[in-house]
Amino acid sequence: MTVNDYNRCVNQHADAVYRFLLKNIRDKEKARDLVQDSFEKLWINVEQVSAEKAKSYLFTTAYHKLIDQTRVDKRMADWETVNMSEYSHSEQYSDVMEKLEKGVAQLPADQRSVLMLRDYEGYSYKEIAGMTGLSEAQVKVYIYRARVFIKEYVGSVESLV
Amino acid sequence: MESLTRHNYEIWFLDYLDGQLSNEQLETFLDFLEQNPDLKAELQGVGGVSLLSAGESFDRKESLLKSSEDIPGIASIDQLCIARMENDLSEKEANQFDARLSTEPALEKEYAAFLQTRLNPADMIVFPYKNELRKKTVVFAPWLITAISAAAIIMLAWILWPDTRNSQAPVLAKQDQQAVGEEQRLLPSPKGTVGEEQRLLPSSIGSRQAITNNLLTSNQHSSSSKTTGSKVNQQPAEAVTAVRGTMQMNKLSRITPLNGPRIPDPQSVKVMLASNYPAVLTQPLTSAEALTLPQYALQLFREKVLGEDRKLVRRTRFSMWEVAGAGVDKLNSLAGTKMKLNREYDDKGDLLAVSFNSRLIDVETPVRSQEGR
Repeated sequence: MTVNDYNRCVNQHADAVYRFLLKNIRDKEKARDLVQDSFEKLWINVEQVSAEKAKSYLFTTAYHKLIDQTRVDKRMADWETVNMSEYSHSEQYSDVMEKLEKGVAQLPADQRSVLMLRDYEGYSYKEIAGMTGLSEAQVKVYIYRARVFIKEYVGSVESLV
Repeated sequence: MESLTRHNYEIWFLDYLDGQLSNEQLETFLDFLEQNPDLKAELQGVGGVSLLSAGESFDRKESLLKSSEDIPGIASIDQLCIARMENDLSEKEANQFDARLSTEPALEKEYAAFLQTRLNPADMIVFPYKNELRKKTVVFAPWLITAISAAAIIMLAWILWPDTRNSQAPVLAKQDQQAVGEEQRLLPSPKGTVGEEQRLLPSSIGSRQAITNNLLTSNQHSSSSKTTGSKVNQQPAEAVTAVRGTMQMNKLSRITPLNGPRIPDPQSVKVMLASNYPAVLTQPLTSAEALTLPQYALQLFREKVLGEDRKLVRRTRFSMWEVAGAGVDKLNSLAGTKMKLNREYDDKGDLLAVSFNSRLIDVETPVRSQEGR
C-alpha cells in the first residue's frame, strides 16, 4: 500500500472507524485515541497490508483495541447497571433511534461490536469472524441474541412509557 | 446361581423375563411355579406390565429435534424473523415466510419489531482529526528538480566566476604592472610560497607596502605608484606590519604574471576564494612545510568538493568552472539526472558561451569578450 493509498484510507474509513469506536466506548477522547492508534498500526504495516484489505485491517485493529480499552476502564460494568426506571419518561424516548441507541448500549461488548460491524459496515459473518477471532457460528449467535435483546428492550421501554 | 426358594425367587423371575435362564434352570423354575401357584400369578402380573410399555410412543418428537442452525435460548419464531432480516433463509424459505406474514398478523408484528433493531449508519458522525492521520508527501516533478538544480548551478557559477562576468575586471595599468614587477623582485623566487613570502626582511616591507597601497588605489587611477611608494616608504616598519595582515589578500591577488589570467578587483568581487591566491599556491608543498589557511582550504576544497586524489591534489588555483562541473556531477549522481555544463570557444580559444543542458532544459549564455569590456 502506498502513501496515497494510506491517505485515501484516512479519507474513506476514518469516520467509520471513529463511529464504531465512539458508539462502543462512548468517550470522544478515547475514541479519538483509538482511531489514531489503529491508523498508526496500519501505517507501521503499510507495506504489508494491501489497499483492498486496509478497511478490514483497520476494523480488526480497532475492535481489539476497543476490547482492551473496555477491559481497562471497566466501562461496561457501568452500562450494565443502568437503572431502567430512569428512562421511564416519554420525552427521553421520543425517537425510536434513541431507544435503539440505549438498547445497544446495554449489550455486552462482544455482541455490540459484532452487531455494529454487521449493521454499520455490512460485513458478513465470515468477515466479522476474521476480525474478531470468533467463529462464524459465534458471530451469528451474538447477532441473533443482540437483536432479541434490543427488541425486548425497546418493547419493555415502550411498555414503561 | 443359588437354588430357587421363596426368598430369592425375584431374581429368578427377572432372569426368566429377560431370557437369561438355561434350560436346566428353566425346568427348575417351572417346577417351582407349579408348587407355588401364588407366585405363578405374581409372575403373570409382572409380564403384563412389560407388554403395556412396549406399545407406547411420543408422537410429538419432531418438535423436540434441534438442528445446528438453532440457537439455544431463542424461540424458533424469533429465529425465523431474524434469519429473514439477515438474509439467512433460502429463497424458498424466505418466500414461505413472506407468505405467512400476510396471513399471520402476530408474526407480522413480531417481524416489524425485529426490523427496528437494525442499526442505521450514523453518517453525521465525522472524525474531525483526519489531518493528524494523513501522511505528508513532497513530490517534485522531474522537470522542477532539473530547473531548480540548473538555476542554482548557473547562479553559483555566475556569482563566483571572476574571469568572465565582471566587466570592470581590472586590466592592470602599466604602472601597476611595473609595481608588480617590483614586488616580484622582492620575493625570494617568482613563485614563492606564502611561508617564504612571510619571511621577507623588514627592510623590504616598505617597498612591498608601497606596492600594496598602490594596488589598493589602482581603481581610482589617480596617483602614480612612485608617489604613493615614496609616501609609504617614509612610514615606520611597525605600521606597515600592522596593516599587512589586512592587506594580505589584496596584495597577493596582484602577484600575478602579467601575461597570466586577469584577476578581478577585490573591491568589486563579493566572494573571494582561495583560488585568488595564485602565485603562492602554485608550488606543491613538501610534507615538511606547514600549510597556510588558504592553502589548507584549497587542498580541502579540491579533495572534498572536486573529488581529487589527496596524493595528486593540485594546489594550483581552480576555476569556478570546476566548481560548477563538480556540482553538476554531484547532482547527476544523487538525482540520477544527465545534466551537462558546456563551454564554447572560438578559433582563438576565447570563451564564447556557457551552456547548460539536460533532457528537459537547454540554456546558453554568451560571454562578453575582452574587447567588449
